Amino acid sequence: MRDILLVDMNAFFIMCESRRDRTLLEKPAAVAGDPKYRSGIILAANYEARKFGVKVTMTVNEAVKLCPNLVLVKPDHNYYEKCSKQVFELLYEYTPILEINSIDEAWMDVTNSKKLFGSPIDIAINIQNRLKDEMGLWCSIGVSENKFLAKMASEIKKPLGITQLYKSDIEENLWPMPVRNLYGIGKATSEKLNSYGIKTIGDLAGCELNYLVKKFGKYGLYLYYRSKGVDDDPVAAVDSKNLSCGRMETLAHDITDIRDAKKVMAILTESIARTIRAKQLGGSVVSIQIKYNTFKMINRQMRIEQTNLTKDIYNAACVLLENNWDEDKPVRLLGVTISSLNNNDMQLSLDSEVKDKEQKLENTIDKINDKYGQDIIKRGNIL
Amino acid sequence: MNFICTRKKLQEAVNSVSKAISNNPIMPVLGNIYIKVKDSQIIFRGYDLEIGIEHVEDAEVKEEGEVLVNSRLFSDIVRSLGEEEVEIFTEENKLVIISGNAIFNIRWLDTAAFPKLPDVEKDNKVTIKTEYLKNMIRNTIFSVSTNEQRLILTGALFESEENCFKMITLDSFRMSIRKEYILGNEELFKFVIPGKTLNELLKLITNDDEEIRIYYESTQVMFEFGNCKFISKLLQGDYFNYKAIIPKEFITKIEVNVNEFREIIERNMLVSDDGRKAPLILEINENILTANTQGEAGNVTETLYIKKEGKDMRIGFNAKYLLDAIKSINEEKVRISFMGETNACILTPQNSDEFLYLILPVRIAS
Repeated sequence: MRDILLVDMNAFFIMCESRRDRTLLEKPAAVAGDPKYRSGIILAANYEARKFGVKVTMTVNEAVKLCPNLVLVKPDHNYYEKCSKQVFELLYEYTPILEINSIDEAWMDVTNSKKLFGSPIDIAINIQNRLKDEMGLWCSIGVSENKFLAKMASEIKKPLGITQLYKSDIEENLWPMPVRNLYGIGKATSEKLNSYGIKTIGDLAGCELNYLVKKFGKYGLYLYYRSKGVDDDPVAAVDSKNLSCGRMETLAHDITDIRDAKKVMAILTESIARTIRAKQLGGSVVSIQIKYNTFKMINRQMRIEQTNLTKDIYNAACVLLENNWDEDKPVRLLGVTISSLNNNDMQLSLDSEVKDKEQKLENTIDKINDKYGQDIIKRGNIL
Repeated sequence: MNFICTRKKLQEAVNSVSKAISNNPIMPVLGNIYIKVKDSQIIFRGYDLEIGIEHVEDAEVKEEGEVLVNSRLFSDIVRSLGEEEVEIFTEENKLVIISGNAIFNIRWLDTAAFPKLPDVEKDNKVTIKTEYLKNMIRNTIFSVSTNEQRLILTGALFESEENCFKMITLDSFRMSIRKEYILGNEELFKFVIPGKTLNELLKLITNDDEEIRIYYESTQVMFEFGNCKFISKLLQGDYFNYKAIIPKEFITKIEVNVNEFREIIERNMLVSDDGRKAPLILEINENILTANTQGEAGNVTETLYIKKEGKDMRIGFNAKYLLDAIKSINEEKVRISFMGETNACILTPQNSDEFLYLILPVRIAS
């Protein structure tokens, strides 16, 4: 049997902020988008704020109504990424087999770490205490035999929980939960399941495999096995080829003019191109996401020559925008993603000389921005 | 309209003109073959607005006239007929096709709606043997760009140079140049023919031993050979300044046996996933060339004795690009000159300048 931990940081963004400003610990506080605009939503709320009912994704207006003394902090993603790195570095001390799931969450395979660090529970206690004492950050840890159950376990007690959940416990602990709580089930699937009369994870576990596959295709397999607590997926650093890098932005007001959309794209593409340049990766599939004010979302993609230049990604994003823009549909969110990332051998092209110059220029811009602060050098197209 | 003709001639004519008829034409009328009977000849035409083909056959003409017939149906019928002579005539709104005991009645349309093929003035002419032209096309067409964003590179540049006829194609990663010396062509010319046109032309030229006359204007070109006239649009715009990218100085030059090298590349491609993923790495040490591919499925290493001048080096390639070039070389040996591991290399003959293949390497991840 494997020993898997899932470490999930509690209220991560706001806890990061509390490291810089200890006074936030005693007051209700939240990280939120610019409160002046309706796009301002709560990104993270501390536990003082949660006592008032403040929740993530609530608008700032709603939150302030519930908790008039709420301290709002503007998000600083660069800082959170830095903190996140420090957290993962600490986790790496216990095992090299670590899979980063998001900025504030990672799986660890500690099967072979027990001789050095004790039982999985000991390791979890140790990690939780060190994160709290050394970094001032809180986490919940799920302890189990596979990734799925570890994730489910981590959700059971927050904040500062350490929960074990093994296959033998699921009848008691997992099956009574509503299907919506099962990791990997979203709103749409849970509604669909409910409409078939499948309300709890236990109901799901009682379904025939054939039935689920007929209703959900390959995803049915996932549902069948997870509801029984089965997950053979190894904890592994994700293959870089399958990685992607993307950013989305909810706009301050709905837009219909493609020129505005292109400006937003310029900012977003700069940001993702910079991220992949820093990792020395290049990508070859660009996709854009458009969410209309009806909340309908579309995703369109195209293949380009492998690149990490802002200009190439921006041009592709603009082509996609132009092909899919509809002036009659106001847009509330835009996103762009570059995928098929790899750092493999690069076929040189006749345009390489030009490309090389651009590459050097963009690397220089990155360095200056790193040194003197974000966006000291801006592109003309976003002014 | 009424004529009698052999099935063989009909078949040839239909084969020719159908190269210019798309299965899914922009205008329905372009899905037809135009047939015109005049004097003692039948003229067949196909046209897709990019390429136009006219094919002429002799026939026993009883009555002149012209019709449009559905290309696919007419081709299928002609193909299905026996070796007997075929009689074709119009009867009110039916076209009657009689061969042996088979009698087809098919619909025909008025020719008025069929667009006229462009007229190409015969002022500017180049003549070349079909065999030479075919070889030039075959040995360069693979590096025509498929990227529609730079349309001009989706064609091949035809260019004159001191009694030479040159063809140049290039995509972003490689370039092919072929030269044929043809005496008596003093004309200076330079035009870009779409790659698609050349592919179709290649299929049309069946006789290697005749002259092909190329007439060109600023916007179109006509190839005249055998019974055929083949008209195509030219691509407009300035072609890439290809001479500027041909390196002049080299740090390493090697000479390899073409067949041996081709086999080595082919063996390396077996593990490289069609040459796309793992690069073929060439290492030159003294007089030994080591070719190596580290594919996901496995790896292969092979050595070859070579003649070398200059430094030892290590360079990676997309094996497919090397193979395309090497397959097009009809000589015993080839010279490969390198400028460095991140610069273009060129493949040239030992003692002439009949061809030049330029290939950009793959930068090997450190």
